[in-house]
Amino acid sequence: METNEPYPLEITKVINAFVDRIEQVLLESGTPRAERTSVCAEVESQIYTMIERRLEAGAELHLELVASIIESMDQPDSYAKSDSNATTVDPILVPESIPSSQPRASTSRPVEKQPFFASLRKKLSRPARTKPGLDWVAMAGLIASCAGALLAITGMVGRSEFFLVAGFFWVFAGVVASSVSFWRIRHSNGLLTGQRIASVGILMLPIVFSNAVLISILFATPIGLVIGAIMLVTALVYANYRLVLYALRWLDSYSAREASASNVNADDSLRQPESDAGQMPGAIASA
Amino acid sequence: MGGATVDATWLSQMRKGILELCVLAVVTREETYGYAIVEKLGQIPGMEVTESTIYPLLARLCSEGLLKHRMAKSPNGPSRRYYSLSVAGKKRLSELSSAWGTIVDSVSSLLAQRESSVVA
Repeated sequence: METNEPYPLEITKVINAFVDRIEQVLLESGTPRAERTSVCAEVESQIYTMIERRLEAGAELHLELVASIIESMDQPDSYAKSDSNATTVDPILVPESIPSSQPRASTSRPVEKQPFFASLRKKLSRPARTKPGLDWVAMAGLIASCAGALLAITGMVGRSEFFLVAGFFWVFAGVVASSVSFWRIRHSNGLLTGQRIASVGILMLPIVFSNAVLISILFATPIGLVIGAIMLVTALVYANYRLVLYALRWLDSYSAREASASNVNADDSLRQPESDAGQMPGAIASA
Repeated sequence: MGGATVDATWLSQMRKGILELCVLAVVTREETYGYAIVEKLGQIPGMEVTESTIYPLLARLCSEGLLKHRMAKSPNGPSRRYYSLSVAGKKRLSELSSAWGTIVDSVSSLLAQRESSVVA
């Protein structure tokens, strides 16, 4: 790019979303703040360097270009395995069959031990579009959940076992679709939206559970009572599981904050203002 | 380095062990930025490393005081960090390269003995 104009907002949004996800992974893996800041700054700088090189080679600046650059880089999950974490799968591990002369992008992926699930995961994670947009799976999940809830409640009120079973089936299908959508959105680098819709789709299950219990008690349908009790127990177990998970996450982030507070003095970047950057090296300055 | 029969985990562990030495060696030649280090090491046969390995290592070396960096403005993107060796980093590089030389000599000598015994 000849001019110093900033990039369009939609492009910086995608880049920021990618860098934010890396920071989140680093935070969850307990990396001190100073190191997180440094890693994220490097990743961001690399993306802009790669964009500049593509533009100098004659490419046009558009979202697809940025998406392809991000796709060729190590994905955020790779940053969970820091250089001190020797027991996990090594990001620098290269399959023996790949010669060193092949492009870098092909060597950046860790060895996949489950080809089927790996390919399924790749298919599911691939965003349907390159512009930020609503995930259709989230919408489908919500519709299925709502339809299922209506059917189940109708079955409970009308004492129809067919409607009841069909209702729970559709609610369950909706929850599965919403969960898949959640996963897709998280792995879309900001290209997919609809997390709230997916949340509602998932929440429909406990809503129907509680309704099942209430209505079965009210109308004293034996099958409704049994289903409602099972669902309620499941919902309680799930709620407790989530509670423990959140507590553990909170503890992790708390210990990470404590660690970063003790390491904050070591972060040169926080003490060194950009104004004292001095002259750029010759190669960069001439570029 | 290493054929198709070499255990991938062993190779990975070996790379991991010498990665710090390699990064320090790249930085000692000239002041350079993170992505350039990734590219340089990525081109070395047998040392295929990617950014998710190098950037955390750079951050750690900085926090340990082995590397120092300065910021340089970039035309479009964010400021870029240029790394160079600190005094402690130079000392560390000297220690590591000395140890590496010893290891290479010893292992080469061992392998040479083995080869000569096989020929005999």
